[in-house]
Amino acid sequence: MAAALQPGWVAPELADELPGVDVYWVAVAGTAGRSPRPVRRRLSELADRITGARAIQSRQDSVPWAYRVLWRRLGVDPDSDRPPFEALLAERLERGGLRSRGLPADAVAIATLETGVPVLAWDADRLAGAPGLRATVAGEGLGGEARAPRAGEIVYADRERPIARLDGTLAATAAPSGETARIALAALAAPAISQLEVEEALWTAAELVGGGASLELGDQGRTQ
Amino acid sequence: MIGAAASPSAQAPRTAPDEAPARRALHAQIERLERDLARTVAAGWQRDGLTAGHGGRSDRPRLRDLGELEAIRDGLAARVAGARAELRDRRAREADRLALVAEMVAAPERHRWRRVSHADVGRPGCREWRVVPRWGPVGLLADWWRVKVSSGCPLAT
Repeated sequence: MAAALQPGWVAPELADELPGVDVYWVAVAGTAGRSPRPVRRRLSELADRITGARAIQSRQDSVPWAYRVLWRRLGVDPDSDRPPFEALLAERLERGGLRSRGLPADAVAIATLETGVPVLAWDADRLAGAPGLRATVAGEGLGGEARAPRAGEIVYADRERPIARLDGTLAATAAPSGETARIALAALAAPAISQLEVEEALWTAAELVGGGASLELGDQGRTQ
Repeated sequence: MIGAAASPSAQAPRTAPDEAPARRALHAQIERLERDLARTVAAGWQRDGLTAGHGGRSDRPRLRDLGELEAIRDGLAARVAGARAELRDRRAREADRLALVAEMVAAPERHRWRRVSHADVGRPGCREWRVVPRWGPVGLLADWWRVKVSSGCPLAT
């Protein structure tokens, strides 16, 4: 895997207010479908290692804590609307396990659980340019049955439209499907999160989605 | 005639005050308070009934104005203070209960039938200290008492 991850973009007003917030992404050959047995086993083994004590302790760990702070600064109570890593921990504790949702969702869950960094996956060919972060304007939605974001809500977006909510809810127009040929994986970097941690999260997800295949370079730089 | 220099509009600031330093300070305070809250919640782990880890009012993620950031900071500060006070009270009660266990062991006849559980002293598990008569009815008649430590949680059925 010689490919380097690509920077996404962050809207200037957001970058000014929250320096250190970044989006990185990579595109990899892959499609949506049932997870292979090794992926399901890895998810199951990860779930087995999650305990209540770990969930409480994780609040003090530097990576989950950084996302709690980011959520808090944006007016979201991370104990009510949990960041993705903590949401996965809570799901494991409440349900007694982590249900396989197929690829790329399982790859995203494994990468997020192993690193604490939120990872998302879209159909790369349905994105208009690089993913980034910005505030919505009135009338923008996620399509499908997803709750429409309010004007001013911070969302992941491509050049043309919102593509996911910060909690990981994907826009119907960009979600991977059985016809997907390339998966775009993106990771959100909070302030104080090093690029190394973001890279690890993306490579973990990319390896699982691509089955160890070589990675493609994203084709967009930091633009908006 | 009032000159232009003295009119209110002329005295008003021509540029909006720079909020950036205040916003940075608020962000730093929120960061510190979130760490304090995490530590307090972790310190209260396995104590039933503590509310520090329960979620509060939440909203959709967006950039907040200065007033909203202050409200977030104040709410978080109140939550940390409340959590610390709750934990301090709980620890004081637990210390009292531990002292009581020591008294029960030293002089069981003065604490007949008294029970103290691990939950009462902030420890995990279902174990408890009970003051019971030695040899059942014999101890009851002869006023011989002892502290019995239960073996833990009942087996799952």
